[in-house]
Formats: sequence, structure tokens, C-alpha cells
Amino acid sequence: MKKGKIYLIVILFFLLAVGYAAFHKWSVNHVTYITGGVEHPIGCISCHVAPERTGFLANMMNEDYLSPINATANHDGSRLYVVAQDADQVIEIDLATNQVISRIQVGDRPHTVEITADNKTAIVSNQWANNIYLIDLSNGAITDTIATGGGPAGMDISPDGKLVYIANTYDNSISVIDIEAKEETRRYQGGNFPTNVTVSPSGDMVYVSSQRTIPVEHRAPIMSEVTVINTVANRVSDRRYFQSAHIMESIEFTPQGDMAIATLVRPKNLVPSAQIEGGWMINHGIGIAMSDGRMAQFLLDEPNEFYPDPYNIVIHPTGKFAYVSHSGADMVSVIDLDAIRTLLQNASDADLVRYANHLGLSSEYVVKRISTGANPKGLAISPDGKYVYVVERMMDRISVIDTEKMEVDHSIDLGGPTRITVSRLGGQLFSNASHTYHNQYSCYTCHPDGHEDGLTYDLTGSGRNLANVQTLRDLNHTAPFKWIGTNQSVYKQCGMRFSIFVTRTESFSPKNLDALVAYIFRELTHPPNLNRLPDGELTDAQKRGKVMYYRTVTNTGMEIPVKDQCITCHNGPSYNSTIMSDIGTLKENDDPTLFDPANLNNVYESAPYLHDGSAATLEEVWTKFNPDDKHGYVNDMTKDQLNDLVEYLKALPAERYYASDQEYEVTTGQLH
Amino acid sequence: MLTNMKGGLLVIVALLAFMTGCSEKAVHHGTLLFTQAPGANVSVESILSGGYKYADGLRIVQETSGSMEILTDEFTSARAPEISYDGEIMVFSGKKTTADAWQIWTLAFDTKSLTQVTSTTENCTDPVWLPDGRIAFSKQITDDSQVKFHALFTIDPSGCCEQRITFQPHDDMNASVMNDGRLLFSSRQVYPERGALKYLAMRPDGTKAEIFYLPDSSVNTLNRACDTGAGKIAFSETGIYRTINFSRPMHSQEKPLIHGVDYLQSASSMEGESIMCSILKSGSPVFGIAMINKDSQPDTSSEIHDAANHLIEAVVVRSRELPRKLPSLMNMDDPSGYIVCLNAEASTIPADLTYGKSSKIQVLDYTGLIGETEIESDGSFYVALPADQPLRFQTVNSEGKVVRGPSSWIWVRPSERRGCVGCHEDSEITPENVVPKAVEKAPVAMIK
Repeated sequence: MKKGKIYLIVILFFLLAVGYAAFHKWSVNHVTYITGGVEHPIGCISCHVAPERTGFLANMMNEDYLSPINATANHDGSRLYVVAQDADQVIEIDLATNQVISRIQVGDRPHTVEITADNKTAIVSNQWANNIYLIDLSNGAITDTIATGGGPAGMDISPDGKLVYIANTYDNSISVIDIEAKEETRRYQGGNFPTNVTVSPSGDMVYVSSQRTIPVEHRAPIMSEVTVINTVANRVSDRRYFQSAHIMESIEFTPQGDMAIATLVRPKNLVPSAQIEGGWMINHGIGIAMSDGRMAQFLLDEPNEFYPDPYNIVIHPTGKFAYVSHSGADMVSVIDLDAIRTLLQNASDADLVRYANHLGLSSEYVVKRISTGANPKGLAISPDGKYVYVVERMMDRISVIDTEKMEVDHSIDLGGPTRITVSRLGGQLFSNASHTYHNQYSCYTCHPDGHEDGLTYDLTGSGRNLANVQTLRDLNHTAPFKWIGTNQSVYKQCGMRFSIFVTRTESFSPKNLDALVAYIFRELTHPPNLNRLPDGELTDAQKRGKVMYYRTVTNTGMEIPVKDQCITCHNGPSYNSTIMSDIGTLKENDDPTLFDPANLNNVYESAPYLHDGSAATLEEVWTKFNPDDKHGYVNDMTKDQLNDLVEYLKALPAERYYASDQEYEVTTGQLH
Repeated sequence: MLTNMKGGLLVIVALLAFMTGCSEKAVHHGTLLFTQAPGANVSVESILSGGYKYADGLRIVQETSGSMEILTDEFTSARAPEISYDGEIMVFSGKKTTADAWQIWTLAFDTKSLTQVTSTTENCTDPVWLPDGRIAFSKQITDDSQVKFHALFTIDPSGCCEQRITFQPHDDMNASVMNDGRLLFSSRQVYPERGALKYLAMRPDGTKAEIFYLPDSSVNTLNRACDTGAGKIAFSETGIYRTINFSRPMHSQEKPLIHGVDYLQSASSMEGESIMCSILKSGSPVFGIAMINKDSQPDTSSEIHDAANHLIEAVVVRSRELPRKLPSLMNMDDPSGYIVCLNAEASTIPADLTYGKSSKIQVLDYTGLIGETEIESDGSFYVALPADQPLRFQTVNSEGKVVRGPSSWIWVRPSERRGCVGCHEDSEITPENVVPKAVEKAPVAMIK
């Protein structure tokens, strides 16, 4: 070999070695930066493949799970119908053989299934399609599509079988559908994010639970509405409130009709989180709307042991026992309703206040805790009361509880993928509270459905630096995170400081943190924006608001400094940027800081606004908290112009819902 | 010497070794360790009262397949073996000569290497491994109260970085670690007067101490408790076996009757919800060792007795699942800790109604008042307290007359934030969700 070649090889080796060393040094620094300086065996795949929604490698790494959410048994107990939310399916199970016998493809993001009294028709709410399907159960054919309000979720059928009542989560309404006429006959105003419906045994009352608090004063106790519809008078006859509670995912009347029982969460967001040991962060329980007009709440937690995220409730035909799924604790609680009735019988108002905050009282009425698979959501009970069917969302499985033995008798596999992907593990972690102190709350508790709970917490435990919970939907590629933008990645956001200030227990292992990041980025998405016209176009007001959003001159023709134009800080697919700004919203109880511009996708469903939740509405962001035009130049706008701007902001959807004109490409100020 | 060792124990220990993966474990896994106390020198009463803890002539014995080996030959007295979570190192308290103070030592099973962990003139005893690899123990100290008592400390196994974690004139002893990562220890006030025994739970950095269990006031001893892993905490209370539920410790005491057993001295958790205990059988002059099953009954086939010696503080050498590693909330640069009380009027202790409503909260140390502040109209107060020193609260009316208090001793660690619903409130009550007025202002500094 010639000397030249040898030299060349040596030089190439040298360059490769130097290059490798340089790359290695760069990658170590990069990972150290991304993870916030915490030692983490992170690989390229963790950030650049696993969290992605598209791409060959991402598709290879991931699976299409069924993710069942709710179920119902038919009226002779021979079939179970399961809503598989991620697969857009209703799965039919023969309960004699415990086998899946059919899969019916339904609409976008189905939520609940109900069966008509004759067992011939299934009614499915398609939450992201704003309609329900009627399915002929003899052949699985979809016979009718009936439009509802926005985001139809929980349903219940009237005892005479003629009407179905539907909670429309996204537009706060309640639809009444005439099943025979196949049309919506009435629509009522519900609470905030209505979620579920129960019709009284006599059929004269309909109670609708809601997920979020009604608007309250900043830093005032929350209150969530149970909307009461008088079906005889055909009107909303009452709006009853559970004080200091929200996330009422389900509600159910007892067969006696003496109680409507809702699952609920009792946050302590107004209390400094200085004593999580004593349950000072979040409690979980049930709310009871009694037929005598009283409202009571009972915790299902215990001292030192919490049972978070109660999701669904079913009641035994005898009315003696209720079963509540705790989706954050992989558990079903069995509640002795006669014990509850005894407690309520002579309870004074002071007693009811005490019951609502008493961790030890549950030992008097929770008679059994039954372990389930990951993330138990919907429950169904057989007509004879012998079995409770538990929908294990993160297992693609149904567990069957023998109500006499009060234990799981057997399970039914729904046929989802058997491999647990990184993202799926993340989903299991996200929905499970075992990584918080005494299992007090899961990620889901403050981020229901991957969104946010609308509350502002005092996480420092000092009354300072209050933090309004932010949505986790469509978060990938929007770093930095946190209102003050100090977290360059979710690895840092959910790292050691998170364990000190939020979970208060051992921090996530690197493997679990990888999984959590993958799940949050890949799976949590905004629903379709309902504020646009059905064809996706902007209304006239929204178009006018768009002009205001992109404007560069004031009403008087004065040029607006670039830093004060909306599009400077809120641009691109998520309408954000990395420009840290003082927008004049700091309060006396805030430490001096700059703010990271918030993402504006589907911002209409994230009230209240600003870092401390002090703006109840988008309007208030500018009418109350922008006196000096630090948060965009708006004070010259007329009332109508501001209204138009707000209308446009409410119409900003998530990236994937944009029409082909890619109207978010506003960085150049280009109008479409 | 060993007169009644039954094959059952060997079978159980062998089974345990198998269940814990004996094929990959060293031979010491599955063996039994205990403290041997000569019956001639140590009375049953002394064991029941805890008086034996500083006695001479105690030794730690390892039982392996029926043969006994004294592990602490070099010591005048040694006791309280505890096994690291990987099953590889024993920590214990011992002294080499009668003139020495008791110190904390470790012994590595594979190398038999002995390491002195503490080096002090004070007695150190009852060590326990923490999930982060440090060791917690009790040390006999005095402070400005001029009274001798035991405080809890932590230290690295290397002897580095000793840190005191309890700061009250109490005998804080018999620490164990619950599966949630907290320390559980017995505590009895010794100054200004002797108080009642109780179990306190706190994070291993000394923050968030709170009453976990309050026994009857007649109880004389609370021994080291063990978390059974099945939602129960098992322990000996004045020599009687007790269990409480982890999830409702103040209201769930059970008194399982153990057939044929008069007293029970120590308990350590085993696989399968069983407890390894030291028991005094009816008519026997000395304590022996037995397994108590999950139904609280002794496995008679597994008993070990030695007619001449008490066999106490038994533990099985095995690897165990690590409890939670709780992150520390402290910032040692902060000289203060912070307490927010939501309602000083909320209390299970009746106020002295002679003096009406409380208007101020006062903070006291050994010498008296160190600061006071107004109670807000909603009953709340928010104070910054000097960290790492014993303090008490009392409420007074507008004329300075004491309405409630003084409270029992408390302490806060540097930058610790602690909250209370009221003063001696029902610990099972969570707060109503309202903003306490006191946190709308900066904390009031209670500095002398």
C-alpha cells in the first residue's frame, strides 16, 4: 500500500474519531440541556421518534389500540356493547361465551352507547362528529345519523323508550332526541362541559352532570352544576350545584329515585399546597342530589390512601350498593348505599360540610375495594345485578365482577394489540396516580382528557406564583413549557422539581419519563373546533377579527410596533413563539418574570385565562388586564372590533384541522 | 443452648430464600439474625420496658441451616440488626468495651468487613436503612432543656454527613420505614414534663412530622413497627401485639389474640404478610422467635427458643422492595420554615372559654415567647419560624390571656412548608377549599 493511502486512512480515522468525539460531546450537552441537567439515559429515539404521530419509524413503534371507554349491557343480559374510543368502534360481546362477536365502525371519537328497551337498536354518541348513530343490532347497520349539539357524550333513554337525552360537552347543551322521529326535538342549556345524564325511574326528571365549574370569581370556591330538566313541563326546572367540586363524569339515579349520585373530584386549589399529606391537593368522591333538595358529598378516599379519578357509577337493581370505578387507582369501590342513607337521615348542614371533607368516613360505607386492570373507566351492570362489567381502557379489556363475591370473576379480551408500546405505557402512567404521594392524583386529574381542569393552584404553598393549569393537547414542538417558559422539555417539566412540588414522591424513572413524554406528545389532541362554520370556513365576524389579529396599524393609521402586534408572539401552527415578554399581567403575589406566549389552538375551551386564571373570559384578557397595551395593541379598538378579534381567536383550531390554505402561516403577515 | 428449633422454620426460611431468587443471591440470604440477650442478666420486664437496650452482654447471632454464628464477637454488647434493602449489609448498634458509648456499625455479609458509622461520645442506637441508602438512628443528646433525650439522626454508611432530623425534647426512637417512604417512630415528650407515647410519621429529611398513631395513655412502650405490605402496620404496645391500618391509623387498632403468647417484643415484616416476632410464651422465662401469619397466629412449627437467652429483634436476611424515595423539600440556606394554619379556632381540644376568642397566635421556645401575630378574621395565620428548633404555639385573646395551648412541641426544617387545618384538629379532615386570608400577605417572621 502506498504511503499516501496509509496517510489518507489515518487521516480519515482521525477525522472520524474527532467527529465522533465532537458529536458525542454535542449530544451529551444536548441531552443535558433537554433534560434540564438531570442524568437521563435518553436516546435520539426518545425525543425524535417515539412522540411523533407520523413517519415510518413512529408507525413501527406504535400500535392502534382500541381504548374502550364505556359499555352497556342489553336488557336481557345476553350482550355487552363496548365503545372503543380510539378505534371508533362499538364492540359487541356475547356474554354467554364471553367472545367478541362483532365490531361496528361508528363515528369520530364515540363516547357512550345505549340500547333501546326492545334490544333492537343501539344509540352511539360520536363526540367529535356532533351526532349520534342509530344502529340496527340485527345486522350492525347504521340506520340513521342524527345531529346533536357539540360534543355529544353521556346519554340516557327515558323509561318509555321514546326519548334519549344527550349531554353535549363542547357547547354546554343537552339534546333531546325523539328516537322514533329520529330528530332533535329540544335543546337545553346545560352546565359547563356537561358529561352525563340520568333519567329518574319515574321519568319525570332528568339530571345532567358537568365536568367543569360554572364561572366563579377569581380565587373563589368552584361549584359545578347538575342541570335538572322537568320532562313534564319540558323545561330546565332547577340548577343544583355541588360546592367545591367538579369533574362529575357520571351521574346515576337509584332505582328508588331517592338519590342521584354523581362521581366527582374535590380540588383544594385555593388552599396552599403545604400539606399534601393531609389531602390538601385533591380529594375524590361522590355527590348526592337528594330528592328532598339537599346536596351532600362523601369522599371515597382514606387517610394516607387516595382513590383518584372516579369515573363511572352503576347502582345495583336493589338500590343497596353502588359501584364506582377509580380510573386513577385501578380500583372499583363498592358503596353501601344504606349506610349512606343512614348518615344522611339526621345530618345537619354542618354534618354535611364535615362529611364532604372527611377522609375517615369512607370506612363506614365503602365495603370493598376491588382491584382491576389499568384505567377502569365505564361500568355496566347486568339486569339481574349479578355482574358488573369494568371497561379497562388502557388494557383493551373488560373485567367482570361477581357482585355477590365482590371480586373479579373473569376477564374478556377485546382483541387489541398485545404489545405495550412506549406511548401506551405512558398512557397507563398518565392515568394512574401511583406516582403521586399516597396516590392522591394522577396527571389526568388536573388534565382530564389531556386538557386542563380550568383551575389555578397554589403549588408553592405560599400564596405566591399561582399557576393556571395549561392544556397538554398538541404540545409537541411547542417548547418551552410552563407559563414562564423555564422548562425546555417535558423531561424537565416532569423531572425532579416536579416530584418536589407536584407529585411529592419519588420522581419518574427515566423509562417512565420517556413513556410519559411519548404519550403526551403523540396521543393528546384537541377536538375539532366548533366555532367555525360547518364547512370549516370563518364567519364574517371571525373574518373581521382575523383582520384585527393581523393588523399592523391602529385605527388612526399609526404603525403598531412589531412587538405589540398579535402575530409577533402568536404565530405558526400553535400560535406561539419563544419570545418571552412582559405583558403587564404580573400581580403583587407574582415574582418578577417574563411569560412564554401561550398556544392558542382551541383557546376557546381553556377559560379562565392568563397565568393565574384571573381573566374569566378572552374579552377580559384585554378589557381588564391590558391597560397599557403591553399584551397587544388593542385599546384603540372599538367594542365591536374587540368582539370580532375574540370571535376569531375562538375559531383557531389545532394544526391538523386547518384547511389547505394553511392560514396559520402568518409569520410574514400574509393575509389569506 | 438451642433446644427447640423446629424444622418448620428451616422450611419457611428455605422457601423464603427460594421465593426471593436464591439462585442469584449470596448464601447469607434466607438466614435469620437476632439479638441474643442472656436471661440471667436481662429480665423480661427490662425487655418489655425497653430498658435492655443499653445492657451489656447482648450479641447478634446468625442462624444458618441450624448452625449459629455470633457476628459480634468483637463487641461487649451489640443489638438491633437491620438488613439493607439488597440484603447485603447489616447495620446494628454496638459497643466494643463497657466504657464505650453505643455506636452504629455496619457489617458486610460477603466480606465480613466491619465499619464504624458513628463516632461520638453519645449513645447511638436502633439504626434503620433509608431508601436512599442512608441510615437513620436515635442518638441520646441534651440541649438547652438540660434534659437527656433521644433525637433521630441520619448519616451516610461511610460516616459522612450526619444530620439531625427531629428537634423536640422527646425520646424519638424505634424508627422504621413505611412503604410510602416515611419514617415511623415512637415519640414521648420528656420536657417540661413526661408526655404520652405516640407514633410520629415524617419524611426522612425530618419534614412533615405528624402524629400517626396515638395509643391509650397507659401505654408504656411502643416498639419498632413494621409495615406488613398488606395495608397493616404491626407493632408491640407494652408487649402486646397490635395492628393498625395504614390508611386509617388513628381509628383502626386491632388487638389480635395470639394463642399461648403472653407478650410480643418485636416484629419485622416477611414475605406473604407474615411477621417475624419475638414472643414470650405462657410459662416461659425467656423470649423466643416465631412467625406470626397473616391471621395473627404463630406458626408453632417455626418457633426457636433458647432456654438461657432471650431471642429478640429477629430479622431475615433478604432483599426487599425499596420503599418510595421521597424527595427532600428543604433548602438548607433558608433559616426559616413556614406554617400556614387555616383556622386557629378549629381544634379538638376545647378552648378556655373564660378568655373568649383568640386574637393572636404566639410562638414559644424553651425560654418563652419568641413572637406573635394577629389571627386573621377567618382564623388563619401564616408564620416564618426559626428552623430546626423546638417550638410551641398558643393562642391568646386581645388581653393576652391564653385561650388555647401551649401546644405540644413542633419543629420546621429549613424552607419546609407545613399546613394545618387547625390546632390539634381532627387529622382525618381535609380543608374546605378557600383561600386563607393569611397567605394574601407575606409570612410573619417569628424571630426573637
